Formats: sequence, C-alpha cells, structure tokens
Amino acid sequence: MLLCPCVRCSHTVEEQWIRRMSEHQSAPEQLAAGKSQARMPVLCSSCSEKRAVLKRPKTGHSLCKACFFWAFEEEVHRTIVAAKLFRPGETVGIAASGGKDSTVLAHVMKLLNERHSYGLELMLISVDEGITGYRDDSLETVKRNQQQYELPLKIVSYEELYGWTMDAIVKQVGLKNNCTFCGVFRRQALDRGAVMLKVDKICTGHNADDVAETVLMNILRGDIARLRRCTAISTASEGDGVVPRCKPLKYAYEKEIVLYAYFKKLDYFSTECIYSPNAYRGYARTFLKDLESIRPSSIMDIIHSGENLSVREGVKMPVQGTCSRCGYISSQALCKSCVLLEGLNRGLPKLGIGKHHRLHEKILSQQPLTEREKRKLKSVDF
Amino acid sequence: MCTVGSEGQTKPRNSSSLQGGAELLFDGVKEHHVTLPSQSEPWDMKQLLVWIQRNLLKERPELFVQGDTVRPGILVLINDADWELMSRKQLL
Repeated sequence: MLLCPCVRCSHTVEEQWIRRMSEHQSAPEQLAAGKSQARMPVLCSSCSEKRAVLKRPKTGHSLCKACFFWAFEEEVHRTIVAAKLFRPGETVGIAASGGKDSTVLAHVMKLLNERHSYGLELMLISVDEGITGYRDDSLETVKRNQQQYELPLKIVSYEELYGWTMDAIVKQVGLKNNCTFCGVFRRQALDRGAVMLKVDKICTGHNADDVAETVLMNILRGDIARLRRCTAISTASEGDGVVPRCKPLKYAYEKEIVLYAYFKKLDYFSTECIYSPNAYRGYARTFLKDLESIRPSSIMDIIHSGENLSVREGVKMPVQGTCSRCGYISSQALCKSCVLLEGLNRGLPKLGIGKHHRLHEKILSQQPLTEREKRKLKSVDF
Repeated sequence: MCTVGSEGQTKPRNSSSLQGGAELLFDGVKEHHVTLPSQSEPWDMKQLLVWIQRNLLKERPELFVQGDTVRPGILVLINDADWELMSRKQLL
C-alpha cells in the first residue's frame, strides 16, 4: 500500500487515482477532442481546488503554490530527519553566496527550525573570492539576506586567508584551471570561517542537479575515490579545522529551487561567474539537462546509482592523512591548498594541476627544480 | 527563466520577463512589453520563440533556443504557471 507522495494528504495512491478519475471523468475526452483545453487550467493534484502553477519533475504532480511550498519544505524536513543531519542545541553555519540555492537554503532552514523546533542556532557564512563585479554584487545580496532573515553573518576572504584574490590568480593561471583553485580554496575558507564562528556544522545549498553532475564528472574522469564520497549527504568530522558539513537540499531539483524562490519572491543574485565558462562541469551539466528534458527522473536516478556504487575489493584507494605543512586533511604529503598556494607564490601555476606528485617531494624539501620541470609547471592556457 | 503573460486576442499584447541570468542575452533588459504583429491564426509558443529570437535576443542564440524550443535548463512560465503543465500540442 503506497501512500500518496504529495506529502500533504494521507490517502493511498489507489484512493487518489479513483478520486481523480471520478471527478475528471470528462477530461480525457475533452483532451482527445483537442478543443479549448488550452484555456482550461490544470488543477492542483493535491488539493484539487486551486490552479496548478508547476509540474514537479520529481513526481510528475501538478501543484498549486501553497501545496508546492508545503511539499518542497516538508521534503527537505524529511531529508533532514531521515539522515539525522542535526542535533538540538547545535550551531549551524549556512554557507551563503547570495545565489538561489543558498538563499532558499537559508529561508527553508529558518522556517523548518521554527516550524519543527529543531532547536538550532543558525548563522550565515560567506566567502569572498575577490572576483570584481561578480562577488561584490552577490555579497551585497548576502548582506540583505542577513537583514531579511535576521541571522549573524561572517565573511571570509581569499585575500586575508591566502593573500591572493581570484582576479590575481586568474592573471597568473589563466582561464582553464582557475576553477580548481577557487574550489579548493573555498572549501578550506568555509572551514576557517566556521571555526572562527565556532559552529558545530556547516550546511551548503548543493542541490540534486549539482550532485548528479558531480557523479557524472567523476565517472568521466575515472575518479573512483571521489565517486564513492560525492553522494554522501554529510561528511563526518575528519580532524582539527575540518567542520562536518551536510547538504539538506540534496534531493531538491534545481528547477524546484528556482520556482520556490520565484514564487516566494526571495531576494537572490544570479549571474554566471565570469571565470567559469570553460569549466568541465559545464559539459556534465549540459548532458544532465538534456537527460532531464527526456526523462525528469534521471537526476534522482543518477544520484541513486551513485549512492549504491560498490568498489571491488583490492582496488587501490587513497588513504586520508594530514598535510605536513598546515595540518589540514589530505591524502598526499601536502594538501591541495598548500600545493596550489606554493605554485602561485613561486610563479609555477601548473603545480597542483594534474599529477606531479614526485615534484611535491622536491618542493617540500626545498630542492631546486630542473629547467625542464620548471617549464612544465609554468605553461599556462588562456 | 522566462515568464510570459498575454492579454487580448485580436492584437496580442505580450509581456515577457527574463531573469535568473537569461536577461544577459537580452542586453540585461528584464522586462519586455511587446505588441505582436497580427495574423490569422492565434500565436503559439513556437512562433513566439522565433519572434523573440529574431527581435529581442541580442547574443548567443544557442544559449536560449535549441531546435523548436528553449534550451534545456531554461524554465518558462506562461501567465505565472509552468508551461510543462500544458501538453506539447497546445504549445508548439
């Protein structure tokens, strides 16, 4: 006996079907005749009273605004409860960029915290990568969010943490691998901000589309270690300076997040990062969007496949240790952040891009590099 | 995201709003109020999209349209409702 997935009623699927068929008996004939159905509004499949405003890609249900809000919010609530993401009394840092995902996350977290008495203390953490024109505008949005949601806000910048803004990094590195720098630095920056704010957990606005794209990317790159980890809804605490983080919106479709923000008139900022057009993720995204247009459940299916992947015994996996320079979590002698920073500071922008692990040893022990090695690390694609 | 609202039957007046980044392809202009040229049959979405592409779209059409319809990933609302609620036949 399947319960109706609308989340709102407690009817079984069979009862709903019988009810709908008897109420809309004439509908199939009208559609077949192809008359003025274009004008007949579709009714909400949950309350059957109001006009439907969207068709959910996840379930195929047509819902009105109120039922959609309820379904969306309650599904996030169920995700949080089922995965036991939080404990009462915890301080949670919401990673906020001013974009649609983090704005919706902040809104829904605050709402559910009150509605279901999670007992959490919520804060906003934002990262300033130093991208002129892009990040300045979105930070203004985060500051407005802080006022709107009445939550404390902490902004950490690459400049103060690493001594490099993304603008300066791109000048040295070019436009091909810059996203690697940004992603690696941002992860650590969020942790540093969280430690400064003394939060117990971080939550990010990664949505179902993001997770599915990551699964596809890791398959395409043959990165089995990441493929195993990337569908996890939360990370455990992995040592000092690393704050556990989770993704409450993991099963929320991007389309629904956009429509939630639109219908709720939430204030958010949306522009493509100026440095991202060549990012590898773009290819995975295009593919995913094409799949979604043919079969909307593809996104959930890919996540499900990723979650149920098992690795054959005997496959070599990296062992998690700590960076010998900064103590951050790392599977190599030096963490990625330190390697990239070293490359930037020494004018060797390709250090850390691709596999040059032998050279890491040389660099750690301050040995001089040969001319050939230096040339390999200096070449840059613009 | 592209939202479309319409009024009037004889001379279709149409207001389109672009947001979520889509407006960047239209010179940053978010709201467009247009009067479509009159024709014998009512306008359908396919014709509207062609008209938008010809008259309003300023750059990189491949980011907005793909074949007969919008590029996957672009959400379209008609009179504030998801166009996926309507059948393909009614629209295109």
